[in-house]
Amino acid sequence: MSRLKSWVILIVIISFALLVYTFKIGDTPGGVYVDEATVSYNAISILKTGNDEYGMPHPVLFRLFGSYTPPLFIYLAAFTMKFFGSGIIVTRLMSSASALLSSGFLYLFLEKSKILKNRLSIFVVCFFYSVSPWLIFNARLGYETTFAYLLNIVGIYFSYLALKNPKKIILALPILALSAYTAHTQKYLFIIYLFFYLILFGKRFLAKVNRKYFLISLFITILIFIPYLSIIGSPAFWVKNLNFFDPGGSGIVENIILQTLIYFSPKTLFFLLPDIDLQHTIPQISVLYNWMVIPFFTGLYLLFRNFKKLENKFIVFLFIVTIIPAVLSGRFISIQRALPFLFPLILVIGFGIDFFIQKFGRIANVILFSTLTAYSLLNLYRSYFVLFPQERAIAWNWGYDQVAEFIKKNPNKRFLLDNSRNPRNYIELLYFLEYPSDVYQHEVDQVYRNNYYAAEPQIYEYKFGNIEVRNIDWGPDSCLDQIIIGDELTVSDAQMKDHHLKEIYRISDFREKPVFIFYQTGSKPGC
Amino acid sequence: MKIFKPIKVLLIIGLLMFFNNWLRTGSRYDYQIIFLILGIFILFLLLASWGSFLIQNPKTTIVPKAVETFLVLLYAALTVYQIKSTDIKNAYEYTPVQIDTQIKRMRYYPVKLTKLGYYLENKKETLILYKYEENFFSMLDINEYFPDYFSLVLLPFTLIGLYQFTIFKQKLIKVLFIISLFIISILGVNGLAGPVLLFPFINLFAFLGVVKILQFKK
Repeated sequence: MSRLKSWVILIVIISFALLVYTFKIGDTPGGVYVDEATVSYNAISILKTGNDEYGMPHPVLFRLFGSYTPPLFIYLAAFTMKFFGSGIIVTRLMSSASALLSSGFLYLFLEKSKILKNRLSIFVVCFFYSVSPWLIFNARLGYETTFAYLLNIVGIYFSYLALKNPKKIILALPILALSAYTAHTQKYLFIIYLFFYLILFGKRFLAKVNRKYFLISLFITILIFIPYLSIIGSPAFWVKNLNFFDPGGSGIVENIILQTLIYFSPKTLFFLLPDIDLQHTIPQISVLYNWMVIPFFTGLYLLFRNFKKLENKFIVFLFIVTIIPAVLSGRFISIQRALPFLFPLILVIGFGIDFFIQKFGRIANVILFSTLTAYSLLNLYRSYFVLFPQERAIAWNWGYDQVAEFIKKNPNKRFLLDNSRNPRNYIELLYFLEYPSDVYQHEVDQVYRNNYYAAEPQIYEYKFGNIEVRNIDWGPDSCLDQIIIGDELTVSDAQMKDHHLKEIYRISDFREKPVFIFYQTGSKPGC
Repeated sequence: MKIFKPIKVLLIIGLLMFFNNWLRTGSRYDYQIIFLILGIFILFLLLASWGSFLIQNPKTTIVPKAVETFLVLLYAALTVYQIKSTDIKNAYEYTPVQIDTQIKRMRYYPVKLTKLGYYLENKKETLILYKYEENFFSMLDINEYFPDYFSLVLLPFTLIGLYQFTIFKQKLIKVLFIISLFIISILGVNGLAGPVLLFPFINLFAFLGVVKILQFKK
């Protein structure tokens, strides 16, 4: 295949992927999820004031909702917003760009490793990777996951190259260290990855000629970790550790085995996600297309048949290591934490695809490729572009933009937003109201700023401007002249009658199901 | 190459049966279970003995005709049990809530694509296909077998044995295994006693795994 032809195919794949990643990106996902809102709001806050929402100047970890998220994505978002304006589209597009670049690094990995025998297979694998539901889902969300995944892949790519050219380790470890500054999963993955990488492949870096490269790499990595080292003794640094080794109902070992089995199960990967968080899933499709189960099994067989090859060993190493943080991170399946697993998974599927491409003739390959492409895209259209915006709208916090609009139109009224079913929804109003971050930083409880890394427990009561966000206290709240905003369950018919509430407005979803109901209080006798 | 004596083979089989959890819980299903256990056990015994022979001579294709016939008959009996103990109608039936969801989904499509919506969400054949897909992936789900029907202890041996199984030249067992997969993918895994048709094969894989590891140590 000529160089020009390769470039043309690559450009076609990238353009098509870009189209899929950005098509209606502002509208699908349906709402702005709280994680997206908090990342955007804090990025805007950093850009405008140099402080996060709590007033902390340039934090090493962002407190957000108490999760102490690694900071790189938020700083990068702030930097990007400086040129492209603030808004959810900017952070979502950052994920799209990350996903596209990850496809580029997959291509480079397949080119350099030569694990696929047919050159055409490289393009086919890159194409199906680019349009896989897992990548598309992550290419369209506005928080750190996809960018962290990209850094992960770049680090993996260079750590693979380092096996053949030890100089490359100078790039590999620092990039992986940067990924640890992007998301919690990568923070743990970095340690696990480095540990097993050095055990399995570290010998070559101990040779006298290579030792200096490893030491330089280690030195840069330690430099990168200085900000983390400065807060390593604080509770904030270890906050997500509480999830680790959470045994759930059964013992630790049994829990780990069962979790591993669920993550590795073909049913999970190709049919139905058992992730209980609806925000993480797309209706009627899992992370990969169902037909991929066939190249997956074929690929697994081929992978183990030639296990002695360095590349195969490296892929098996990735296959196991990348899933460990997800497995150890709690009793529930979280497909978001398992994202690094996508890379080795697609490599295994790639083995299978390559096998079939070699087996079939040119015409059969064209027919098969066209059929599978049409089938995959039809499934994608059905699940992501038709069912997902409707069935996952509430999980994606749909409707807060309209709540904010209503509040904007009534600047002289007092509002109380019930947060009993969504304790983090205050950020939605801050984001959609474009509430000035410098003002909010003074209104928020100063204990969070003063003891920033002490991981003070979150008190889910917020007050800013003419808005309060908390649970309803019927005693005083029904007597105040204010508008209570809640969902269908916030106020029962009996409460409405008892407290003389009057419904004044409602926001319903596409299915005519009420999402927010606005009640006017203050007419209760005896107040 | 270590040749295993029959007594050693029997010992391994006995040990493996101990980790067949379904044997302990299975008795609650019905009286036929005794025959079922017996059938699976004999089938597995044959497969295992055969497997032990094959693992030492992977390229062999010689199988005594009588053994082959007996194996097929026993397998056929087990298949009949599997079919009779599964409510196939139930496996392909949609609950009223599911039907309602499908109808709602049809309405989510743009007006121009109403027909596509009908084909993808409400056409009878499509709905049957979705149920088949569910059965197919349930069949492939390790969690359907471990730890409910088999102890987790058997899992690593089963996986090693499965790999060993793929490199055998012997066709009959492979064909029977593929037929079992096909039948279970149609019937689903929720039969009265579970996907029993696959139980002898899971035991066989575990057996091959154990033998492989013991050979490796030698």
